[in-house]
Amino acid sequence: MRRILALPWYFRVPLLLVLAAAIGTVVGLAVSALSLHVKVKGQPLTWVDWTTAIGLPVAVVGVGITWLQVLQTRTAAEEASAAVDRALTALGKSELLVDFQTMRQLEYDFDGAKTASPEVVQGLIKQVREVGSRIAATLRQKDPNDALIGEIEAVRQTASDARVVIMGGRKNLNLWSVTRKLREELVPLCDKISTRMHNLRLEVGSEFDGNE
Amino acid sequence: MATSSSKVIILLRRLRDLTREGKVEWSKLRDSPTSFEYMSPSSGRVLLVSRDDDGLPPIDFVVYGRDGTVVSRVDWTSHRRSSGALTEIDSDILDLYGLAAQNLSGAAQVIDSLLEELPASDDDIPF
Repeated sequence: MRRILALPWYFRVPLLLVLAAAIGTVVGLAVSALSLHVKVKGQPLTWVDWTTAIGLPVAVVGVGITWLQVLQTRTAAEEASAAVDRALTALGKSELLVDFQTMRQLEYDFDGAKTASPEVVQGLIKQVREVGSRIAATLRQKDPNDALIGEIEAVRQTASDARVVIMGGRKNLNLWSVTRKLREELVPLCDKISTRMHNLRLEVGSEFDGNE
Repeated sequence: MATSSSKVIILLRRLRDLTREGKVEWSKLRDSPTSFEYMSPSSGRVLLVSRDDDGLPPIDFVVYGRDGTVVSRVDWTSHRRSSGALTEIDSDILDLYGLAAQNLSGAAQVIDSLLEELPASDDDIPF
């Protein structure tokens, strides 16, 4: 019953209706059998009693078939629900892969931005914060205690600090030195991200292979 | 003698009160329209920075010297996901940010001028 209740409403409602009908039939059968039993003991049987006597096993078979259909439907519904869950998980992993890749690209972009304008550097910082936020949120859903979340939040904070310094608009601001801490923190983070990417690719690949 | 960190909180609250009274003007940053700036005529400037550039917390209160160096700052510390549990200082920053946004939209001035134009109601206190 708990498994039925856990299904989506469009599976749950019809299944519960069928179950209610089956229970009603069983109760009706019990009442009919009781009345037939009383009749057999007291008086000779009429055609109504014979109809009841034949109808009883037919109804029992009917309840049995209904129950089997309920089981089959439930299995199909559960499989459909599990397939949707698997598809969503695979989609989430693919999105995480894209975000991991973007974060690694940002590390390269920072390295290449030695002579970039403050606007370009601000744009990169903004992306680090955004992509980092998405990665942290996805990892948090999977495992709130994932150590990578803390490292990403630390990098986001460093990015924020660099942004505040650039916003001051100081004359002759050395952007390379302002972003040094951020670039230094991005290197080990992206190394770990690379390892995760490799594992994630294997997971996603095997899931897609399994679905085929 | 107040320490510099307590002084910056005093500055934050003073700016909040003055903004509420309409005595302080804020402007939007050109590169980051969700961050607001108060430019002092002589001492420096103050920025309210929406960290994710979305006009929502976390918001930092940053004080710059005249040369653009960060002199002091009050960082947002509350966790965004813990609903309703803002620290007192974060609550002050959020108040100031909201007031600065109102100041920029000119909502208070429009409402004030509309109230002035409308004929007085019998229920209005005449003083």
